[in-house]
Amino acid sequence: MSTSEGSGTQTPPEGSRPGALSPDVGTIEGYSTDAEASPGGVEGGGAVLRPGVPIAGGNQARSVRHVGPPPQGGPGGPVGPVAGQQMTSDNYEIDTPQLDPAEDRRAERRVAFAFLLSVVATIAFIGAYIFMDIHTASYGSWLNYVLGGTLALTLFAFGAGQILWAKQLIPHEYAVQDRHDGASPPEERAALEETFFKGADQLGIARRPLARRTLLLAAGVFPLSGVVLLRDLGPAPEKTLRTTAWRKGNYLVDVETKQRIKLGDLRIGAILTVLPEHFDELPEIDWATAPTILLRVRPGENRPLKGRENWGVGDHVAYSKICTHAGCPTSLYETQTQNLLCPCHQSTFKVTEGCRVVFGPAARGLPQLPIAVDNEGFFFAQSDYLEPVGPSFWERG
Amino acid sequence: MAVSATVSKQALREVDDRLGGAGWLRKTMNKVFPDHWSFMLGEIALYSFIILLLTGVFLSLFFDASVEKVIYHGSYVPLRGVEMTQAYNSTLHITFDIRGGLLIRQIHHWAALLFMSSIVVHLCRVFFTGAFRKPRETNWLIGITLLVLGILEGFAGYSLPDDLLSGTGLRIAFSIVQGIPLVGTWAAFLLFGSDFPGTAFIPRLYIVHILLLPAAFAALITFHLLMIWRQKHTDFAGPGKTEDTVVGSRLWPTYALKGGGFFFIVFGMTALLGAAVQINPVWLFGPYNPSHVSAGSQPDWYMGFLDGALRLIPNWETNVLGHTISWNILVPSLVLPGIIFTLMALYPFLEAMVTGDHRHHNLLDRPRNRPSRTALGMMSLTFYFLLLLGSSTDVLAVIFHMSFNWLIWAFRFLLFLAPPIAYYVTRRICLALQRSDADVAHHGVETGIISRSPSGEYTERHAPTPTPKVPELVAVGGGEGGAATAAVTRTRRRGSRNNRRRGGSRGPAGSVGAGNGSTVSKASRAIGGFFFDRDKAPEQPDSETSTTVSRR
Repeated sequence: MSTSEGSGTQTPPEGSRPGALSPDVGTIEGYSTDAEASPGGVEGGGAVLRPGVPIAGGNQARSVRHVGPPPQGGPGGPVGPVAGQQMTSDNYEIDTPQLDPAEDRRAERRVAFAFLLSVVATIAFIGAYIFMDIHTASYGSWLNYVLGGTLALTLFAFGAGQILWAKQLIPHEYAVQDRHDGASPPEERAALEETFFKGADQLGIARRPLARRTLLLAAGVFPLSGVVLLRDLGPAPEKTLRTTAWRKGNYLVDVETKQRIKLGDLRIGAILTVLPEHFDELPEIDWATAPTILLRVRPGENRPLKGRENWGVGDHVAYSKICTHAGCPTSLYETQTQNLLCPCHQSTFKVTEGCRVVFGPAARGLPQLPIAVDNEGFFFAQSDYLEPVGPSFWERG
Repeated sequence: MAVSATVSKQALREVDDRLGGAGWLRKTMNKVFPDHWSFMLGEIALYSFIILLLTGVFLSLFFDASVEKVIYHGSYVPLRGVEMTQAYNSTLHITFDIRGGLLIRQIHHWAALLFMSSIVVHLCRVFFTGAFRKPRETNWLIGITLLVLGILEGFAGYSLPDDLLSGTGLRIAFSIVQGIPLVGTWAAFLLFGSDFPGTAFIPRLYIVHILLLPAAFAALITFHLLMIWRQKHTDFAGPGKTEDTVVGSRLWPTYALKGGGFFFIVFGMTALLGAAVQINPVWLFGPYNPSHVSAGSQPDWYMGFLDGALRLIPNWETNVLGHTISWNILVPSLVLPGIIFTLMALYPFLEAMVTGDHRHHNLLDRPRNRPSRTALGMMSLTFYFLLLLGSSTDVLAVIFHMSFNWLIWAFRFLLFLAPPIAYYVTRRICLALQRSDADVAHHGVETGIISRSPSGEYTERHAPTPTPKVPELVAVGGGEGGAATAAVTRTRRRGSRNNRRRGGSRGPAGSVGAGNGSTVSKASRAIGGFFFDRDKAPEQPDSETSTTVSRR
């Protein structure tokens, strides 16, 4: 590498502790491995650092000698990037104190212990995998602890061994490297601009407005085919958002038992999630908006909205379970206040007042399902919901 | 030893014969990385990503992202005979019938939480230390992109098992998309392939989760690292540290070994969490059913601020010309994150505009020395954490026996009241810390020794400021000198900044930057005077490094 710089190793006297640097070191020696490997012949001459001068303050103070083109900026100036393709410089200095031999042996044993522990843990992991039965109830719950514990130990010990090696066996090093960041040399920037504008000139992008404008037009238009291709990702919306699976005459059935509900089945203050009968024969998509709550409020307390006087049966009312805010099922019923609460964002609806919003982020009350009872006392729907169920959308109106 | 050395040498030569990269490789090995615990936060994010890839590949071997209905016959007794989707069924299969499946699932989820947490904490480190400044704005933008994609990727991931909780989350997602003005319904139907829930979305989400976003992550993370490689890591100011050098240890062997070891420590940590701490027990939630929901439905933490905003928003909705705009969906889930992430992305440029500081910065700021930025950051974090806490209002109400109505009203007010208070308090703390620093620098540290003078006056003796531990390369032959220089440097810097705030003379460099005269620049200066300390050469006022400043 003709563009590389030299490097230096600083060797402190014997006896300094690992990790601690000796303050009175003055000589810098060449970093011999690099010097051998570099055909350019990196020189690592001795140099003495002057007191009180930060090592990177300027080239003069550096313990390294630059080989190849002279650094820009002159003495004391910055070291610019030497060549265009040079990504980094290895212009560093290190300090390598010697380790105490006894401490060194102990440290190596610690590292080896960590690695061996990792091996043992791996063996334990494999053993657990083979010999513990996942289907035996008492073992099944333990299997995760044992597999996870041994795996964690394997990984911890392996990682710890490496870090101990790095911290206790590798001589502590204090390396300094030039950054060489910032702009390229002015001549290189000029050359780049020249190349770019020469090309642009040959391209004639400025001279040929017709070609340029049609290019921009085509560039803007051609992605449209890709956009069009996305059309068949799904069907057109509208209809399905306005209707649910409820039809006139559908019996209300309990979502769990799938049984019809008879007048008197619900105690006062009770709440039941209902769906149209035979909902499970429909695809989920057709009844996802249909969940409805059938409630029995305290006698005489229901104040139906105008025009909805006969939408309930006695103290029984049915409202959409799908919150008008973000579509969560409003499942929590406070019997005392007769409020319905959405567990997702805490929108609160007053059941006795047509499920109007009394708190929270929902903007509209819950839609009401008109219900009636047949001769035998079974609840059925008078019709579908008369307004769209669930969260708002642009075309809702 | 000799044999392996020969083999290694041979290997290096074979590589160089073909690629000719000996010089580059050598420089790579000698690349110096600075050492500080806070620089490992980004590493944790990187390692979590690798763990996510490894565990994710394992899970993808068993997971079946299909919403075909099946009856469960696996070994988890409580759900036997229940109808569920194949996605949920295969998740149960991984959990109860694949040895180590539960472990890997839990490691995957924990690593995802760790990934997002470390990204956020890493981002805070970068913000508060000013590491985003020129020349690193591009990497800041990549980081913000990774954060946003990480939120999406996490959401896609925990939505896949099609359990009751995730299905509720998907329904909210559908409602949010549906609420977009003009295109919302179309967008929702195209994304989900039909009305909610449909059969298309989970398979589509799976492709996004295991192919598209991971590919984007891999590309962006690679670019993020290449930029760090090219621009070299920032470092805190200190003895021997300058704008022109990196001080630390080299890649080969120290940093490589430490980094490799740290990867296994992070992996071990996620394994320990996966072993001992249950996460997302989908078998307890049951399969998704549009008519069911569980109380205390909350997303993973990184989605929490959006959920909190959805809870705290008042119930605004307008009807214009037969069209509905649901602000109660639009503002918290699209407008607010849009503003938050745009401001975050623009912050480096806004700060540079306001301060007029367009120089390169390789040395990091101490947060206290940038009171306005630190205060802005704390203000934003206060806002963020209030939103995050807002997503737990129901849980908080239960734990503290409070009315959640009052709690939500409290949060609504706090959201606007607390951040300015946080700004003011942080700023005052920063300034007080600066003054105490200056005090120590001027008078030394208190010794607690009271002495009486012959005239009867009592004074406390102050000792000289302890010398910071100086790497010997700086202080060769006279550690005192080097250290003293560095210490004096810091003192002088703080003193001069305080003078400036009190209306003292602005240094000659103070007039550099925004051109005078134009209304824009005047306004910018006025804002700048309020928010930022206008000093141009904070890092290197001392003579040794003034060459650095003049070069720029």
